[in-house]
This record gives sequence, C-alpha cells and structure tokens, in this order.
Amino acid sequence: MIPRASLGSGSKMAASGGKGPAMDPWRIFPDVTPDQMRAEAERQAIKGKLRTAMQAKLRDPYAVGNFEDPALTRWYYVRNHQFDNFKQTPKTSFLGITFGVVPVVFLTWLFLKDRRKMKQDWLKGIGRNKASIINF
Amino acid sequence: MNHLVLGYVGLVIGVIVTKKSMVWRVGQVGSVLLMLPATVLVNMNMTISNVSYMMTSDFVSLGLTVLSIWLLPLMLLASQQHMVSESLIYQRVFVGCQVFLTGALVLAFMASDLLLFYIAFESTLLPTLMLITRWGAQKERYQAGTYFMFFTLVGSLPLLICLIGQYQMVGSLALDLSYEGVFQLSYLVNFWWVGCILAFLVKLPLYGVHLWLPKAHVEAPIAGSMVLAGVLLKLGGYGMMRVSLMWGATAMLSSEVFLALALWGIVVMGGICLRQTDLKSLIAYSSVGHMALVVGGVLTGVAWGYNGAMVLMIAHGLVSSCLFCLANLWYERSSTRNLSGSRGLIMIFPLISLGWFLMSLMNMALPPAINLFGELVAMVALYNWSPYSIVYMSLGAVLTAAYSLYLFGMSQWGNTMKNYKNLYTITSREYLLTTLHLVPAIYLIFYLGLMF
Repeated sequence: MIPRASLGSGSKMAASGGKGPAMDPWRIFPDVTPDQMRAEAERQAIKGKLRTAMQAKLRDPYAVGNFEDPALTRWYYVRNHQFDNFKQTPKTSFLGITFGVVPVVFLTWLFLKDRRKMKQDWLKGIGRNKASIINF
Repeated sequence: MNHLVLGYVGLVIGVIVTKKSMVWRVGQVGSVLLMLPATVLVNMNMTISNVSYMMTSDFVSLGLTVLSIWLLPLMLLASQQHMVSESLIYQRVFVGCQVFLTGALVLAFMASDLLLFYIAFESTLLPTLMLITRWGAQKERYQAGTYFMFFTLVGSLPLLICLIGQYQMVGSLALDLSYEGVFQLSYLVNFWWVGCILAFLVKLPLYGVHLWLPKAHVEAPIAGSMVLAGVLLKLGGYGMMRVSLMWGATAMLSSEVFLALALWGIVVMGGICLRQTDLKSLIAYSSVGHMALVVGGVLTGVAWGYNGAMVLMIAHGLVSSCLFCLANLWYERSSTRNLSGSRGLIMIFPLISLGWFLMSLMNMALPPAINLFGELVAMVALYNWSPYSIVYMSLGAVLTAAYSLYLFGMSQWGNTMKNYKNLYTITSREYLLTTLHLVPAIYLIFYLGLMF
C-alpha cells in the first residue's frame, strides 16, 4: 500500500519537499517562460555531465599525471593577458592619471616643499624637529 | 684578487672541455671551491681600500661579491632537474653561461674603476639574455628577453656618455679618488647626475621603469630567476652607491622625483602583489617593492641610508632567490605557477613548508631577520630626509606583510588540489638548496658587523 503522503511528493529530505518544478515554490519564476526553463535545465544537465567527468578524473585512484582544468586555464589566461588587450578609454585614462601620475607629482611637490623649508631652516640654524633625537 | 676572476674564466673553460659525466660536477665543485679566494676579501672598511691592480674590496662590495659567489652553486643545484634531458652542448653552454655571469658579476663588484664596472655591468646582460630566451618555458620569453635587454641598454647608454665625460673632465675614473668640488654648481649637473644613475635605476628597478622585471623573472628558468633576483638587481644598488661618491651631493639636492617614484612604488607594488595569480610574478613584483626602499636609502645620501640599503640588498638576495627555488620545485612537479592552483602544499610537502614559512616571514621583514634591520635603517634615513615619507613607507610595509602572508597562505594552507597525481617527494637536492639559502640568512641575524 502506497502511503497517500508520498503521491506526488518524493523524499521529504529534498529542499523542494519532493515536489516537481511546477509545484516547487522556490522555482516558480513569473517572468520566465517554460521554454527558457527547459533550455536552462538542458544547460544544467550538460554542466552536470562535465562536472561528473571532472570528478571521475579527480577521484580516479589509478590516474597518473597531472590534468588541467580548462576553465581554470582560461581564467588564468585572461588574468595574465590583461595588459596585451589594454584599450585606452576615459575610465582607464582616469585610473592611470589618478593612481600613476597624481601621486608621484603630489609627492614630488610635497618633498620639494619640505626640503626647501628644511634647507632654509638649516641655513638659519633651526634644527629639523626641536625635540627629535635624530638630528645628526 | 685577479685570481678570483681568473678562476671563473678557468671554470668556463673547464666546463667546455670536460667529458660528459663531469660537466655538472666540475661546475658545481668548482663553484664551491671558488668561495675560498673570497675569504681573503673580508675587509669591512666603509671606504674604498685594499686596492690591487684593478680591483678593490670594501664593505659595500664584499657582501654582494660573496652573495654572487654563493649563489652560483645554488643556481647549478637548482637547474639539475630541467637540464637532464638537454643535449650535451646545451648543458655545457648553460653551465658556462652561469659561470661566466658570476665571473662578470664578481668583476663588477670588485672593480675599482668605473669603466671596468660598466664593462662588467654590460657583460652580465648577454648570458642572462641567453638564459631567459633559450631556456625559458613559455613563448613569452622572447618578449621578456627583449624588454630586459632594451630597458637596460637604453638606461646604460647615458651612463657611458656621462662616464666618458667625467673621464675627460677629471682625467680618471678610479674609485679611490675623491671628486668633491670638481664641478661648479650649475643646473646641468642634474642631467649629468641623472645620466649616471639612470642605468642603475632601470636595473634596480625604480617603479616607473620596472616593466622588464616581472617579465624577465617569470619567463626565466630557475637559474635565471635566482641570479636576476639575487644579484643582478643589486648591481643597480651597488652602482648607485659607487657613483654617489661623486654625485652624493647632487642626490641630496635634487632627488625628490626619484624618491617620490620609489615611495609610491612601494605602495603600488604592495597592492599589485595582492592581485597576482602567478606565483613567480608575485615574488617578482615584491622585488620591485623591496628595491624601491633601497633606492630610497641610497638617494638620501646619509650613511644610515647606505647601510640600510646594503643590508636590505643582501637580505633580499637570499630571500627572493629562495622563494624562486621553492616556487620552482612546485612548478617542476605540477607544471603550473598558478597561485590558486597550488594550494595546501603544507599537507603534501610538510618539511619544505618550513622553508616557505621562514622565507615568507623574512620577506615581510619580521624581526630578527636582517630584512627588518635593513628596512628599519633605510626607513629612519628616509624619515630624516623628509617626515612625510613615513606615510608611504608604513603603508608599503603593511602591504608587504599582507602579500607575504597571502603568498604563504594561498600556497600552503587550504584544501589540496586533487588534479596533481604524480608528485614525487622533495629530493635531498632541494632540501640542500633551501638549507643553503636559509643558513646564511639566519647566520647574518647574529652578525651585527654587517650594519654597524
């Protein structure tokens, strides 16, 4: 005898409560058509197969040799070749000037001002910092 | 002291003519034996002294000479693995390149004439170029070699012109003469001074002209990376100290631009290191940051600055070289330098993690390592030069600690990657390599004569 509670609902351990996608409150999207849902489910199925293949290779006890994850390789290629694909845009110009030119110019001006004052003080006989111990 | 350089010439010849089974043995044993003549160089006077026919040794050159002599057997030790499958003639050229490079470096550090120093400085370029472009691992090595050569050559041409001009004005380029009061104070002196130090600023490298360094360090084989990070960068610092004999006064008058670049460079390099995904690239960018502090120390013109820069150079040479060795021993096993692709190494290689740990701690200038003392002394000199520098130096120090810990944490902790299946244990050769880096670094903690 099949208990009535299990009809239309699978394991109560599943997050969806065992209900199918049509009845699962977490999966009802008002702005997504059923065609799009089906396409997304197909994509997830392909990704699931790829994941399973990767896990099989990872957990294979007889494997010898390193194997690379192509997604990781692609990610590293992008990160390490950003300079080769640099394009001058207002944003990159702004960033370059703000973090490359302005600090150096500002620091140069700051040091020139401070050193000029220091040298004038030195000629007048005033020490650098009156209470400093490193006046040598 | 000529016999030290002649020893390297003899070692190159020895490597070329010996039979196949003895090439590496001759190279390694010979390079270890050549440390013995270096013991006569111990002369800790600050000023130029002990001048023989064309060479001198004083405190400044001693440390770096011994460092370059020490690094040669280590370079040969580190390259054994990837050179096993090369043909005999290439092995001979490889070992010969490194021996020639070390000989040129020793000549450069011991030269008592600025033109001899320049010749040796330039002659270190060619073996390094050969190491990078022939034995590098990726196709980007050609661009790396080009950047390396052209940056250094463009920087050093003004140096040659200024040295020749100095020779015509003064009549000699010997280092044991004092040049004070030779030139009248005109604004042209600044250009002369910039011409003299531009080569060394490119070599160090200073922040604005540092583009060659990450490329060259990453694309070079392990021997190339070790010698680049360990000694070749220090040629720049050493050269600046030598020409400061004449130009020290000008440096004290007009070094604001370079110090601004250097100080901002420490901060920027700290930030860039935190974003790196390549293990070797992170260590390479950290070299730029450390050398920027050396620039700062030298350009202040005071004795504390020179001392701090000196100690920092020796410390950084050992630490960076060891970090490259450690990165390389992972690269040889996994064929990857990716930072997030090399995690959890403390579980796979526990004992070599000690090497990673100690070197990362020394890289972030943890006391009692000599890195700290070098940084501290250089920072004090810079603070005396201008108190506003403390902001950037402290920010730089914090970021240095951050990326050193990031490097150690990303590589050692975390879950191990399961896609590396043929990891063989760390060989005793690699333990020896790490030990030979660690022992001088720890010994120098107790050798206070280095600084004071």
